[in-house]
Amino acid sequence: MKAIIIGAGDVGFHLAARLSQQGGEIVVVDLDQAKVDRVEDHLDVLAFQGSGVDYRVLGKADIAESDTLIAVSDNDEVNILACQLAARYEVQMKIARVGSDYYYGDSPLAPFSSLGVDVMVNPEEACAAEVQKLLNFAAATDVVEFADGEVILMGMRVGERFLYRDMPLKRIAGEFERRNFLVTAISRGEQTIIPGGEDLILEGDLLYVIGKSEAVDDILRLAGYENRKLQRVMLAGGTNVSVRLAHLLEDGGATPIIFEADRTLCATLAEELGASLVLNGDATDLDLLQSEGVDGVDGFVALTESDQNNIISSLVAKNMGATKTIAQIKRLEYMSLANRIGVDATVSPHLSTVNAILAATHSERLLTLATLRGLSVQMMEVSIREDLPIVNKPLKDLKLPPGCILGSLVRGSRILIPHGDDHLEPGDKAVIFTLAKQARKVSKFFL
Amino acid sequence: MKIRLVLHIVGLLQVFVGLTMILPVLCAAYYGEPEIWPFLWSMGLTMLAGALIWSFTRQEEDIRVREGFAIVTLGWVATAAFGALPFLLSGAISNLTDAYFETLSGFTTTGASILTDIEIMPRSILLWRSQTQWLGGMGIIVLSIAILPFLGVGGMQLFKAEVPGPTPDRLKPRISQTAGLLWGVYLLLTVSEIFLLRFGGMDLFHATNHGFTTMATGGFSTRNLSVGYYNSAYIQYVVTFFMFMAGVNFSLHYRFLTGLRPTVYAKDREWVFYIIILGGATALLFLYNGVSGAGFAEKNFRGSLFQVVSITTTTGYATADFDAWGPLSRVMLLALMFVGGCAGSTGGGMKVIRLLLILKHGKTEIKKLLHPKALFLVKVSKIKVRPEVMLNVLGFFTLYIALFIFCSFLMTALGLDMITATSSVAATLGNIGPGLAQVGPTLNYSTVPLLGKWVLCGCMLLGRLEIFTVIVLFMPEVWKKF
Repeated sequence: MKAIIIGAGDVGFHLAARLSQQGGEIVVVDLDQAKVDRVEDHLDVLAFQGSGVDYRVLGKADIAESDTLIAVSDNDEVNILACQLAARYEVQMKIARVGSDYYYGDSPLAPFSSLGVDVMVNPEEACAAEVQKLLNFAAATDVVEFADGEVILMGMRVGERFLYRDMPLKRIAGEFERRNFLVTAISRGEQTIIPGGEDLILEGDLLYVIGKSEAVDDILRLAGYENRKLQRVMLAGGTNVSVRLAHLLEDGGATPIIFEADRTLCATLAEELGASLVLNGDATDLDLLQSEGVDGVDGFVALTESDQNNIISSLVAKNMGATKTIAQIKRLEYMSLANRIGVDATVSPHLSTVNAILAATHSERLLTLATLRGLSVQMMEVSIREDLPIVNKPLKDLKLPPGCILGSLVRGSRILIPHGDDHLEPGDKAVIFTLAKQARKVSKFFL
Repeated sequence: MKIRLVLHIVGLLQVFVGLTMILPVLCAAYYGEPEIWPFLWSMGLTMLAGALIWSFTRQEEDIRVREGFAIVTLGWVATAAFGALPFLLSGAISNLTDAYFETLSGFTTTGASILTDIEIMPRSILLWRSQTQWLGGMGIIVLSIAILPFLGVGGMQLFKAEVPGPTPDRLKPRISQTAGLLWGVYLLLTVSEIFLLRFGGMDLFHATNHGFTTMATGGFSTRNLSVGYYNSAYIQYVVTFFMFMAGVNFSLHYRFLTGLRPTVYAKDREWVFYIIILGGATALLFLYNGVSGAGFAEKNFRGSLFQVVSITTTTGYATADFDAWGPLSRVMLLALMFVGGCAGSTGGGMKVIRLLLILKHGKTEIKKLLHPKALFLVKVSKIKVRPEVMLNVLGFFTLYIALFIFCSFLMTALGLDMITATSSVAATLGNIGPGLAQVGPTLNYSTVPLLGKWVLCGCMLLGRLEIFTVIVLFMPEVWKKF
């Protein structure tokens, strides 16, 4: 892959890191020299200072030979224009981060395809959708879907009601009738472990379990949880993400309760959201939280622009009895930290954007690519070619690189959670977990 | 400092270096020399030691900037140590200090020799001697980055620590590609020179050796009289041309080769300044020598040009005993030792770009005296020079001069006369090779006291790795566990 990334902010930086780790030849462009320096100092990529719509800069970045352009600057219009310029150079995949609503739509007047962008990613929409998923699977900290929704990956913190203490994974598997899921990674403190049969699950571990979507209940049982339907959800901050989320929740039959300090904004919110309760107040106001019934609320989602406020209000709400707290965190480096200090789940418009874009930069064989919190584990959904040497051999005989685990296989219409005796057939869609550092080695194995 | 990680990579490097000893092995086999055994032993020992160190320190962690410095410095120190084995085991150089000196002089492309008679040495030994320079020229680390892809991101830290110049160019997105391209150009020029030297009548063995040491701007010759042994004007001009080319930024060579537009060179202000220095110094030397009795024949011109290019690019070949030239010539050549090649070349010294920046900075300071409120920018090749770069260059210059003075003091304290002491330091710090007086072009470093040789070894390493890479390791905080 030869890609140009316009914009070296959080999103651009992490995309460049991921794609470069995958072996791509990446060039990053940004107006800010300081950002360019940061990229050059930390990543094995080329970086230039300049505008992403300046044809001379694009020329220096070798756009004529590039196959992908990813425009993720702060400015929608620059992103779209960059994609249009790229079209003139016959760049095959053009992805733009577009935040404004009015560029999207189903109406025949909506200009999507004629704008020249192959994939438009809306960070706020992606983030809101992710929050909704997290709320739906109340116990989960991460939810990713594969194989068109038939295979699901859930991240969960081991709960108080965890029944399988001190049992090696092999034995735990034996406790479940249908082995429809697999523990693919464990996040313990700062470490990420790809576990084997002998490993134990400890309290406080964050488990990443992959399984068939129908096995959700079993998966939750594993970690000591039950699933519940959402009824009341508190949202702190009347931001765009908040509004989108509120719509999604209303559609799903839940009642959003929104806290917004600015009175005029509250009026707008009340007008737009019919079934929600709009409160003119601060979500860090303990009395207000108490009186509005934070104790027992199904979810508390902190979506203000301030990471710190989001973390604090989540911790407060949790302390006062909220079932599940989710905080929006912009600084990707703080996400796993927030998890460890007591926030149940974290979301980030940036991470959602990164994941959405990685998913779009697939090739025929690499169907999906996603990263998890802490960004040290990477998941790939790959279509197995027939000429790979690993085909038709029992899995336990394949010498897979360390730090890599095969999570699930979709064969035709069947979904398998693979065990040592299973084998790979051509045409299988496999979901593979690896430590981000091994990503390149592992890709070579399967692609 | 992640010491295990540092050792891990250094170990790997030794395996690599050991592998390159295959060339002298083949040479010894071809000429039927008994030295084949010491080479095989050296190769085995080096590769085994490297492999053991590598496997006992298995590491998956990432290289940070500080590990980069440690790996490059320790890597070079270790490589010179293992590289000295063939000399020691074959008896060609039996003194430990001398063997290390000669090997380090090889890898750092200095070219200062302790050998009193080069021509009695076996061919395989001479080839290894030249080969150490060829490997060190473009860099053993850069070569590793090109060949070992997993050095990936960490490779960048290593690249920056080994490649000379204030801000190394990146030709391609991935560092392994950039490294590969640089070595490609390097190889191409080396082969071209060997071919042209053969065409001038030099036999393949000597042509190969000189090809190796010219392109590395090293200066080891297979002849006691250096290139002066070859009376042919053709050969001397060929060598001059390739020394000149070796002193140019290899990125410029690459851009020329991929676009075939000669203006690539002229547009680079550093290259232009390089030409001005070489041209000006040659003219001055030619006139001075002419007036002092050498006349204004072509021979004088060729000799002046050769010496100027040789010393400025820090190669260190000699076609004349320039130490016997008048005092003005000697001072000028001593001064040229501080210039060096262009950034991104195999030359040593301070590098032309730094000199250019310092002069421009000086000019700006003077202009500011006349216009205190004005804002002046230093620009090179139409690109604005950032303040951090300028400060770094000034810092480097200060450190370089300070080291020169300090080491000259040391050498004098060890008993050498002033001219020998100062020129030996200038010649090793700048990686030129021959100095003046007792270490002049017709003599060698064998008369330097033992301790002095070690001081000079330090200078050679500091010079090749551009000081900071080595000095950083003397700060205790760098070695703290994290």
